[in-house]
Amino acid sequence: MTGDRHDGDRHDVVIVGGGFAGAAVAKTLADTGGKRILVLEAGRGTGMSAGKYASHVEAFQASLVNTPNTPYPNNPNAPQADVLDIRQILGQPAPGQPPRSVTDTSGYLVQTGPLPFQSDYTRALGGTSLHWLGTCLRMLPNDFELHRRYGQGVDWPFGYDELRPYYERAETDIIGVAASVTGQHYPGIDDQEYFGRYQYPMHEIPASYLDRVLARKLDGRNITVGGQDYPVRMSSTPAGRNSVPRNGYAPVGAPGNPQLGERCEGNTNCIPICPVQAKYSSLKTWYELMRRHPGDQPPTPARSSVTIVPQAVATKVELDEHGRVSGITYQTYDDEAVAPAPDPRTARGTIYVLAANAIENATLLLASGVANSSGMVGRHLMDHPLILTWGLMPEPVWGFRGPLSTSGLEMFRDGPFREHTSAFRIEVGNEGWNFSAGAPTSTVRAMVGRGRYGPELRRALGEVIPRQFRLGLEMEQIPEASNYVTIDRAYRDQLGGYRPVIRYDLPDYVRSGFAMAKEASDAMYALLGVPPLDPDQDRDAFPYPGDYTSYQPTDPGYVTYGEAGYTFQGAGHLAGTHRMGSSPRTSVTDPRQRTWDHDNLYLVGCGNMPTVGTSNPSLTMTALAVWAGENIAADLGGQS
Amino acid sequence: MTNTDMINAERGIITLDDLRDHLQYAIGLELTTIPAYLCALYTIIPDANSAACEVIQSVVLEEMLHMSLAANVLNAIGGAPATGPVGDGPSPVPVYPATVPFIDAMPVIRLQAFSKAAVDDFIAIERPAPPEEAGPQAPPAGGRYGSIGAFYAAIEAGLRALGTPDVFRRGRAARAGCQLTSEYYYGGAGTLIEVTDLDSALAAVAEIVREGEGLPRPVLGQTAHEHLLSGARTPGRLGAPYDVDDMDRLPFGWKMYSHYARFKEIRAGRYYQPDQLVGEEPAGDILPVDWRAASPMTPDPAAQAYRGTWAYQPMMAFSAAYTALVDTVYRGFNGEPALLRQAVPGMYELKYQANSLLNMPSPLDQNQTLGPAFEYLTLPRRTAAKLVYPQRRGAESGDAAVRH
Repeated sequence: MTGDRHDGDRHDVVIVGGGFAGAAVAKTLADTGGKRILVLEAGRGTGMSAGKYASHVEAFQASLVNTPNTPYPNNPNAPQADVLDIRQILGQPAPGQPPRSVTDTSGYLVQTGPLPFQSDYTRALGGTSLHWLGTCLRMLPNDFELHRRYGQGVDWPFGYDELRPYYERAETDIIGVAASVTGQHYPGIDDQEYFGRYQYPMHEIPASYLDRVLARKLDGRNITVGGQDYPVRMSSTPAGRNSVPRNGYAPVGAPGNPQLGERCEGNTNCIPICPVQAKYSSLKTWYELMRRHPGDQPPTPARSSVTIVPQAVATKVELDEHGRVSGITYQTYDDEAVAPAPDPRTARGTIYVLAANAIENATLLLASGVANSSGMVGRHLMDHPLILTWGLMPEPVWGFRGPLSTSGLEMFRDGPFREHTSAFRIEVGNEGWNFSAGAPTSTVRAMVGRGRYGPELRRALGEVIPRQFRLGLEMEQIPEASNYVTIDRAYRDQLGGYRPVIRYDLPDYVRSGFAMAKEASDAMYALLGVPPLDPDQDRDAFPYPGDYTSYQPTDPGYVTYGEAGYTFQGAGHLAGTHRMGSSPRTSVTDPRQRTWDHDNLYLVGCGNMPTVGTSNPSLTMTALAVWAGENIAADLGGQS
Repeated sequence: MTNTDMINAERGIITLDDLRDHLQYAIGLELTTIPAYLCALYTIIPDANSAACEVIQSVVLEEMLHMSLAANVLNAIGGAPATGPVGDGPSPVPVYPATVPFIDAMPVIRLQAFSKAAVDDFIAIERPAPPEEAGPQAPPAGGRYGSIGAFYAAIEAGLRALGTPDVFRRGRAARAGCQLTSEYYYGGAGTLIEVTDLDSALAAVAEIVREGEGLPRPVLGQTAHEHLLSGARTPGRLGAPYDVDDMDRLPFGWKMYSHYARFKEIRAGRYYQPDQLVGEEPAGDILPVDWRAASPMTPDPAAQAYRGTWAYQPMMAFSAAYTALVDTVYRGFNGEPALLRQAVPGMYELKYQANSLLNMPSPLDQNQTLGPAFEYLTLPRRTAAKLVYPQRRGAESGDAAVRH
């Protein structure tokens, strides 16, 4: 794949980025037949080979530290954000002085603060679909109308009903989603209106044992939060991972090894990697495209020609004298560690698509001086800031089994409170305290530190680890122009490309969400029989049951709201940086996801999302990308 | 098994009972190679030989598919798959080292560690019958079928002769809810066919035969490419058939190959090139195999050999777990298909126990290890439960483990 020169060849479509959105656009276009499609991916294409995917699994297994990018080592020629680089941005003040914002350049992201942007992404073929959890929630109808209904954020230029058929295609044709309609419970949602007669292609992943314990103790109870009563109900989480099929659907296994991964096997490390590839990643779509639409054959009316070039970093979007995109300049490399001799090539197409994720799309556009008459490129950077709560249950609940999350508590995804406080969803984690406290490694360390060893250590671990559980409470972040990614000549990577320079903060709207979420969590812990720990109890003795949630002012994501402090983390969701809208003054792309400024440049990915609701955005991104693919095909004079 | 007073090739299939008896043995026949392949698989040192592991795993799954297809046919004609003796003949569940008394010239199927010799044996087991001996023309030798192909051809002929619409109608009524449908099968090539009439019964038998066993045609003269095309199909998304065609020259098209061709690739340490003949030695890309990365298991493991030593209990515990698994699968064939999901943790239990045994030096020879004996036990349930979980107080929890 590398080494072939593709500059000079003219393609119908050039796509920058090999993740979710790039794959969904490529497939939608390729399946219309007759298209020449070139895909440039900055990172490696390692995962495409069944044998080499195993090297990612081994990298993960060999590491004591479990972060989303552990299996996907950093590549200096295509560097990526990493959670290990996150620091507190506000410097410790001198006595009597206010906290001083200190730009943190220790990682790839240049963090100017005041808060660190804590989400990461992967630059490799597959993109962040390599390490995502797999949760496939649709947005709620009200999420598209946040401004009209609640006076917050902005409205989308279309609603849930317009996007719904694309959700179905994303779930059935691209990702493959396992879920049941009847097992999901959202506030104010009627199954018939929300889903119609739709059936997911695969049956839901069975609820974990923890889910069932929580359901037994919580379903049908009420909790009072912010003076309001909320009925509690566990909700099954739709997942992009293989399960028992419905209606003749054939689950897609690992690329190059199709009988592997036809069903989820319950490895709980979905983040950072599914060892058997039961979880969807865009590698599966690329594999399908390579087989059905091989790039070394000319296209026919029935078949397209898709060429994927990994280790090709796009450096500039070029314009001609009419302001149309004339090419994408890119640089290839062989050795990741060594900057290559400059040898810029240009990919040429009729239509160009940037699919490099919300942050990389923005920096490429800014570096090129393109598509930004609105001044909105890079602005309205959003994540789903989340807080964790965690504890030890009275009885064993057997975490570390089943995929990372199979159920959630969705009562707070919508409601009148959104006028003043962010909505949130509650993800039930099946991985004990792995996310919240680095368990089981940290548990072992703590016990060894207390002098336990041998059979006594094993016995004690056997008491504590099976009782570990955690909740992740993920806030909707509203768009603010003051949260942005930009570029600065002072900050470049090894290839000379611009590193993302980020300014990020959380408004009171989100912080009050933390407060409300913590109140909800506390109420549920009370129902579960998990009391707060006494301050004088020895945490490293792991008394149970008990709420072990702890937020320290030295945590990088520590924020205050009123009298309370919370530690927030990123959910791995980057969005909003080139949003869609109805007006070229306030948005970067039109409702068809084409840039206002250049009629042959499309942008796809979560960067298009004007608001993010409370759903993990990958499904919405994929649905939008399918729609963009259709729009591009129509622009090409479509041969559907 | 010395008792050959059972299905008889000279008699063939005359009555519906004969046909059902043949199908009981078909299920057992498809089960027979599974322990041999699993034993070799378990002896591979973890993380070594991933390609060989994947091949063996998917072959095992395909044999399970064949068992299920045979069970579907048996159920469809009103039979009930059972592990007990078949008429006057023995139980279809094999005893190792296993011979197949009703088929001539079947190699003995042994439990052995992964090795060149073992893979040679697998190749011999899966070798398609030479054309002149295959098919219905194969003369029965002393009451035995000349080949697996002849055995299935007799079943096919029996279905055509005896499988009237009335038989299937009565079978559907008597055995309602016993058919396994396609969503229960994954991890290997081929599809589960629900059997409701003669056409689907013949399709199910053809599906068993298609994957390299007893192909009644000159398979060895096919190119690997043609052999590939003759292999099972994997449906594409939404059930649309996804045929292998000329464009499928990628080396990882191996999944479509017969068991015979895949074992040959492991033995040779190379993949086939698409235009090679299956009868040739594979000469394509390297398929790395580390023959040293296998536990030194005492061949033909048997619990009896360790009676009076500490090794007897763990050896029996494995066989108890294996027995539980076989019983679960047979219950799945008898109207409880959802139980097949229990087979998944059951298989993990087998693997964990086998791994333990393969890490225990034998009390009879310190340079060898214990191993999985795959003995189908006919013990009272409580006795078996105590073998699986001897530390648990009370047979209750053991019962829960053994019940399925």
